[in-house]
Amino acid sequence: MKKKVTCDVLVIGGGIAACFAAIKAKEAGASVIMADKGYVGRSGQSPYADGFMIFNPEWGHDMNAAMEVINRHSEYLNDRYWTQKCLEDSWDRYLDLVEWGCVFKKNPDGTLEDRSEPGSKGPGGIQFDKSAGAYGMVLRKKALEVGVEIMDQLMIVDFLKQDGRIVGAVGLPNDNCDLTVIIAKTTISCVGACGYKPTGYPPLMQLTCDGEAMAYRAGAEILGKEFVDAHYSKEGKADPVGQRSAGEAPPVGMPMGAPAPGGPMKGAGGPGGGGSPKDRTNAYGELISERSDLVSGYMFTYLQSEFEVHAGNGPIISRGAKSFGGSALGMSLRKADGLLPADRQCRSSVPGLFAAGDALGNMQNGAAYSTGGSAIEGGAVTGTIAAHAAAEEARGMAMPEVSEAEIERAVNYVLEPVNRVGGFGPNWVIELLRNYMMPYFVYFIKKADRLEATLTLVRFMKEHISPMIKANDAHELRLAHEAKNMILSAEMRLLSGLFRTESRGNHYREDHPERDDENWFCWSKISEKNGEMTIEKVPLPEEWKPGKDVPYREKYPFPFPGEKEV
Amino acid sequence: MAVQKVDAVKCIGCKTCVKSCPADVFRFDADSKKAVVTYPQDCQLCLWCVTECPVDAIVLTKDTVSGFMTCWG
Repeated sequence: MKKKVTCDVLVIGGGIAACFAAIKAKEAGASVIMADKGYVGRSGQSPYADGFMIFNPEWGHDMNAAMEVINRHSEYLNDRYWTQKCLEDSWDRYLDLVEWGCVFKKNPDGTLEDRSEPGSKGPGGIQFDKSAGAYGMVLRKKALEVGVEIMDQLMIVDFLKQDGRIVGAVGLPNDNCDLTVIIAKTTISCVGACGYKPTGYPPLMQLTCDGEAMAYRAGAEILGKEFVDAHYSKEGKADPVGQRSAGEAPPVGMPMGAPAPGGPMKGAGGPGGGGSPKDRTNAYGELISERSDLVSGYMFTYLQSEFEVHAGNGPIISRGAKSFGGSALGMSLRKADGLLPADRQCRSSVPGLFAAGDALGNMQNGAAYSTGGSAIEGGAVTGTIAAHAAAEEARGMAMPEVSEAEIERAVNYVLEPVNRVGGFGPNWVIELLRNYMMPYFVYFIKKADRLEATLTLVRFMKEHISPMIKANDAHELRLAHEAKNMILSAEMRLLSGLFRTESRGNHYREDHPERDDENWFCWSKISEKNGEMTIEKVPLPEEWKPGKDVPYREKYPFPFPGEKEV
Repeated sequence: MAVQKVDAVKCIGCKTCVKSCPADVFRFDADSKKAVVTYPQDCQLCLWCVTECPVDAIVLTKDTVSGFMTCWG
């Protein structure tokens, strides 16, 4: 038994990008279904974030000055169009949020509290005031008010494709196997970042790379898997949601692969390894090693913590509490891993499919975490752009007539694990994958032999285990697809790490510790060709490249272990 | 710190935990009209359920390390 519904725009996800996409598309006149694996408003990473990057010339912000800082911290791989666009549109999206009822932290004089350094040329950093309530629930209420149809706890598992175009998707409820077939003129993937269910980092727990796996299978190009995010968890009481009202606040620190994150190489120009904390938009705090050395002024934003751990100097103390690395296992740097934008309207390379938020690889931050608060803000900006383009494209278009054969193909794909007689339990598969991927010496401190060894194991999982995962009920069926999607993503991540034979930003190769502008001033994109996962370079405009006459350490203030200035 | 059970005496059957859990750990029991912990092995310690439960009915284990999965099938 299955349910069949239609809409102009299908939005997948329930975080800030999805909420903006759904609300704006509906306001643009489209009929909108919003399908989310969790519960819209409490879903994904959005509830955990509070910072919102803001750019406002009236605050003394200057576009050229801001871009110059961001370009350097992005190690020049940021897409300058998207970086600037996200700055330009940030104030309007802030005004949307205020109009919808979100509350931001204020100074005693009523002005907005700005976390950036005094005299900053921008961007600034404002924060949601969570004491006023969870802003995700404000967005949910707004979406319902404007007439968005919300389908909670429905995991979109596979796209429907006809004549080369995405024409909807098939969704799996959490508690039964009665699938929902959604026919849509256009689809916006706002499924967030990628993760491998890293216990101890709750924001990622339901983000299992579903969006990029579905898109990859449908022919999309995936970007930026080599730039790994180094968020960590802390031991002791913590309140990641900022909303706890009952019960004991839990310790969120859980031992993962690396025992602890820390800071940069020492003796290289002070905190942060050379860059001045003052020229960053968001210096979160300091990390201290067991020997009481200051090892980073930037916390997780670069990989210094992992280098410190590799050198045997962990665990690292962050704001008085022991911290644990590898927590954000499976996630790339914000806005790095995701669908390669085919244009400036958030279209993917597959017709009919758009992406926004962390699901869009718009490289807003390049190779390193160059702007704080860009996760939420970028989601709001790209969600809006995608919504307008998707609603416009759907306007005047007839509802696609999807063949029964295509629907049957997708339904069979979704139900295959629950129809199996024998096979592997999904939780065992997930545990296995996590244990392959979590060692810091595979995930953060990379080297060809270790990457190749792990890639061999992960490819075996893809070829032999993935097709034989068995589910006993709807709950396990969800886990089965999550496992398959994570395995696919792990292959992409290892392949990307192996491909880029240089170090840059949040990608470090022990066997190639230098930045190599000559050969690697490019992105790398992954796609399926003739049934094989392939990776290729995406060249960037020559004018984005840092000048040859600029001294190396000036271009790249953060040194890598073993790096020679070239 | 993983979810262990829902205190059936305190639970008012509002389904908030069922809707909040990103790991799909809870089910609503139609007979007793209470939430029950059905898939405790999938708890990822986010404790949205604890945060959202209006009557503080979620009972946690004292464990801070999740167990290893050692079998297949």
